[in-house]
Amino acid sequence: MKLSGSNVTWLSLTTGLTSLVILPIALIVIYALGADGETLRHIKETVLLDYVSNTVLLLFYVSIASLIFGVGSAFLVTFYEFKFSKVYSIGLILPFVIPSYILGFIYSDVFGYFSYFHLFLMNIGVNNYFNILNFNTVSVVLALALYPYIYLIVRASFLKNANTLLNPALTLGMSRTKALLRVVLPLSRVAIFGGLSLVLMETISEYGVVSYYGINTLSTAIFSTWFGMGDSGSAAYISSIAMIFILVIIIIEKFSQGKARYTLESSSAPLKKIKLKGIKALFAYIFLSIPLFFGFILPFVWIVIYSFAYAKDSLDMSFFSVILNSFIASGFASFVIVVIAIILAYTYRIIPNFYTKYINKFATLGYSMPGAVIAIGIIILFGDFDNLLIEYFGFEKLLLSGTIFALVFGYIVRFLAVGLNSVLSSFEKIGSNINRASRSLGKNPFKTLLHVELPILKNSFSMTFLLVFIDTIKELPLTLILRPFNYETLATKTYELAINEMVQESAIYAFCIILMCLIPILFSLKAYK
Amino acid sequence: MILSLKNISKSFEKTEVLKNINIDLKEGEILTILGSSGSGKSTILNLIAGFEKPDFGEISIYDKVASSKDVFMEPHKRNVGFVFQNYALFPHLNVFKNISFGISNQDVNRQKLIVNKMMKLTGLDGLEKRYPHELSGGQQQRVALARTLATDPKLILFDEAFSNVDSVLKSKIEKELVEIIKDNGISAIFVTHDSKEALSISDKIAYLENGDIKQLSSANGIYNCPCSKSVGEFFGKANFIEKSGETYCIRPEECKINEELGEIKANIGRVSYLGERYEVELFFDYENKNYMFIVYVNKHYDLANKEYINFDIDWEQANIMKQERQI
Amino acid sequence: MVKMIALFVLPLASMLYAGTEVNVYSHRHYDADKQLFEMFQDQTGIKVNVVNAKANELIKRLEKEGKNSPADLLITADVGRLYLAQSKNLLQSVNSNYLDEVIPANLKDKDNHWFALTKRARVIVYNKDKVKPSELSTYEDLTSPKWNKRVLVRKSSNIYNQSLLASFIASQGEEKAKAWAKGLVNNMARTPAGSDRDQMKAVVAGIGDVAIVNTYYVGKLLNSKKKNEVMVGSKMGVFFPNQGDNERGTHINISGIALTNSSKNKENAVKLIEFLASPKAQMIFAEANYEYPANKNVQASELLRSWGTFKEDNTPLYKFGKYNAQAVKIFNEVKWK
Repeated sequence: MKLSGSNVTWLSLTTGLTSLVILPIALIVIYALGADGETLRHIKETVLLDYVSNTVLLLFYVSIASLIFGVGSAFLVTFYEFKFSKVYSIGLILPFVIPSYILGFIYSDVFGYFSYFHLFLMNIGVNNYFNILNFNTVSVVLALALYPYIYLIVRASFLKNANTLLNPALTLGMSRTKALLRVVLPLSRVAIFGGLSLVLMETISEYGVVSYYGINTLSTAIFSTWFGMGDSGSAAYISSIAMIFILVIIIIEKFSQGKARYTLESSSAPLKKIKLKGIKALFAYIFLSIPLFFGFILPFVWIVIYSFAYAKDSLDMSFFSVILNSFIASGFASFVIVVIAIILAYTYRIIPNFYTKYINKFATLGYSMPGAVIAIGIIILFGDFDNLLIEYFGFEKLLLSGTIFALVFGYIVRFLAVGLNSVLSSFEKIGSNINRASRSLGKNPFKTLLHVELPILKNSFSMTFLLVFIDTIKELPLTLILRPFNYETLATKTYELAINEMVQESAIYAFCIILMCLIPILFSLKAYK
Repeated sequence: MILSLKNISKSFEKTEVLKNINIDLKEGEILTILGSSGSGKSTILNLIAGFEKPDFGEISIYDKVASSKDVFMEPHKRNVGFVFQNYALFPHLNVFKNISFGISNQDVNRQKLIVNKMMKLTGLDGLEKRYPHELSGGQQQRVALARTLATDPKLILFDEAFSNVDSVLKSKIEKELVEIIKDNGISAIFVTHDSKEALSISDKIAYLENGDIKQLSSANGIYNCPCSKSVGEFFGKANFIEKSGETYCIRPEECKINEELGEIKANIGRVSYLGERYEVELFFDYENKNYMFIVYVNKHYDLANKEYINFDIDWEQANIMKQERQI
Repeated sequence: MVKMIALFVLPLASMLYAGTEVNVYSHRHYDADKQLFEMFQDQTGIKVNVVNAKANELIKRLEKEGKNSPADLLITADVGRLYLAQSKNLLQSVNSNYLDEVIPANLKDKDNHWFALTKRARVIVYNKDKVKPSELSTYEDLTSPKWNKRVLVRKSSNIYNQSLLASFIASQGEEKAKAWAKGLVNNMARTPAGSDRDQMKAVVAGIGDVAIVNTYYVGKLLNSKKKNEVMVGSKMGVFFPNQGDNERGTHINISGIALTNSSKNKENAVKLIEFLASPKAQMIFAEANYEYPANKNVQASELLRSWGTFKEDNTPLYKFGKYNAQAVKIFNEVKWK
């Protein structure tokens, strides 16, 4: 079957870009397979098992806690009626706005030794204080930061499907509560697993909290083998173990979906909620207030207080240069991501076949990879490339390694999925007929994109840009590894200050991150109304 | 030949949607492709327009090969007009810009000339500055048509273009549309699931079932000489009877009530009053078989207390069903 | 965009401006350093450009930049890293009579590839309410049963601990060093977590009774703006281990400075080293950062003097770097987390 002119261009572009984006990940696998050497053997013999078991344990605890917070709150808020339930339903999303590492730093300050809390306890005679820097705290912190994934996805599923699932059960005589527990909940397991898999992938990727709290996981191991021992082979090896974990999670999630291959016709009727009064209502309030308070209100208030407390000292040239750095790297990366996403999504739009569909899935691989893994892949990639230039082309210095391009490329590999999914759904919303109409009227695909899709979707694409931008601003582990020398972003500055025992001084940088994270939430709230 | 499809087949994800499609369309002809939902009608249009590629077979448009084993001409090169079910007007452009979209690379004055001509033709005077969301459904459809006509295509494809138009407006628009097409010597292919619409506008009708064209005939031919029961039933109420080993398709209107001398004596079943006539179920035996016929009875007839009635089958008009009847 | 261009142009610019500036790659991020660089600038008119990063990153960077590196000076907070840089041929020798005169022989490289700027000791601190100094004696003693579950120390990934263990390997051999590490792990009050200051806070909070920390952190606590940290500092007693006649002395380490091989502003760089070694600068290090001055003619701050003088372990400093890799391996083997 002959390929036609413009189709060839689009397909080549798509294939080329996707290959570029997968390259770092592919390199990790290759290096991991070939990794050997003294360092690796030593790691395998001594600490590797610890890294793996810590990671598994962490995943386990975080799963339980985030499921309780996420499913529990979605359940209460969707199916029960009580005063302020609407406030809670929105408020429970807010912890999204606080990156997990910031939450971790704040808790070490609020509950650490000789914090106001500790002193208060000492004053009332409680002498045995606990060490905040422990495994359980990390699990709770991560659960508080990540449960909104589960909450949002499960709640959406409940709202969409509950009526259709409930009504048959109710007509068979089941009580409402029983119907909810025995029918709706189990049948929502696709959504539950979907949200949980996101939580688990983020946990594997997590670096800031675990390193700060002294827990050694696969993620921190990648850092320590790279920075501590300078051994990219070992770092690649550990990275590939992390990738196996991710693969397992993805397979389990697909498996849970597999049997449930039905699509439910959603009922448009509003859900009838069970009214809660008295003790039951009180229980709901208490249960829901925990994630809301500890996940958002407490940290937010802390950030505001300490931002203003240290504002005078901190608002100097270096503060603004950090903001500038963040904006430049993130802005550049987000722009490129949106462009690539449009190219990839558009190719699928005009050539909807097996190849384009699955190549898009490949391009989204980076999102499920830990940031540190991608960073190592890029270091290897750029390092090899630069060495090639030096050896064969007589270059004197490194061209790509350690430059801002490495960091931007890292963001692209990591967050292309966000941009791509957003653009794909924007295209889906407007349907393919206007694209076809334009082409039947004589405009080739590129002109069609220019004159039809771009003007119509410019707001959607701006939103896409914003979403990606914010994800890159928050990002920590990849940035720590790939940033150019002496290049601080808001995220890395917050981290550096915190590990140098200046947590309170980091508040103002955290504040900037939080403010930016709030923007899309506000936008989507407006749309919600 | 304006359009020629030879041995076209197409599968989607292991389902064979089109098996072996052959269509020829002359200049100025109107063909309607009919079938139930999911039968592959829209796929044929997409293949002709170039939005999809056939798995096998060859498509020629305007005597040039558009799609074959070695060649694929992209949609924007084919100059085949397409009107969509939801009109697909460009929401960010006003009526003028929508209509001039396909000719935007021409001289500005020429554009104005053509757009005005199109708007007159389709009755859209005065609406240049309006935006699609400010138009009624009927107006939107006319803009879609004008937009397509502006590029002067010799073949236009209509994909369920009237499904969203209410029935009163429908026949009016259909008539106007066919006039424009015929006046300008344009060939057209309509895809619809509405058999009445097909019968009223088409030169030729193709009935698509299970990926094959079961019958390709004139409107008259397909109505009166359906080649299979499914084809027959698609176009209206149909009765089937065997006489001397042959199966005949008898339309309700081909049965005449003859109370005294009617050939067949039948029991009266359910009677439905449809305003313009009665529709009556008649039970009878013929050549040792039981039959139930739907028959039309004049609305002034009094059926109230009757149990039996006699009627005649117009055997002269009745047609023997043959496989793949083509006229 | 501007910053990106700057990152590319900096090396070029520094070559153009040679003569009026000096480029420093430093792991230290203290205000005292900033202050001193500004003083140097005011005094000599030579601009000091500082790039801050972790020592390993700095060294990797120097390696990668090769002879095109704009760095003139490397400053680290530990001698092990200076040794590493030296072993990678990144440093060059400095000819300075002044430095030869004021920096003691054991605080500089024998070939003048690096010099100490400040010195500190890694000591045992104890809860004054619970422990008497007479109970303490040596590092080795901390592995005895009486300290079971009472010792606090930070993670093995920290360079200060690695250098400490390296010094044990150097003076006592691998086996004894490993035995000490293992014994200490058995006596830990908890799995290592947090910084040196966190260990002290944990002592006062009752988690453990003694901790191993660097001396300047005690000073930092006592002079902190945060009241709770001052309170913690005031409860800490400072004990210099291994002072006995047959003992080798307390482990010391240095923050040091070195001239890079690729230096384009050699003269300015040496001037800066000499400035940082001069009494004025050394006093600022001493007062503002609670470190012991390297310059033999400058006395320590009052606080440090109040802790008394002590016998220093005279294991040659370069050996900390030499045995660093082995130290890391031993830590992993004994599961010092």
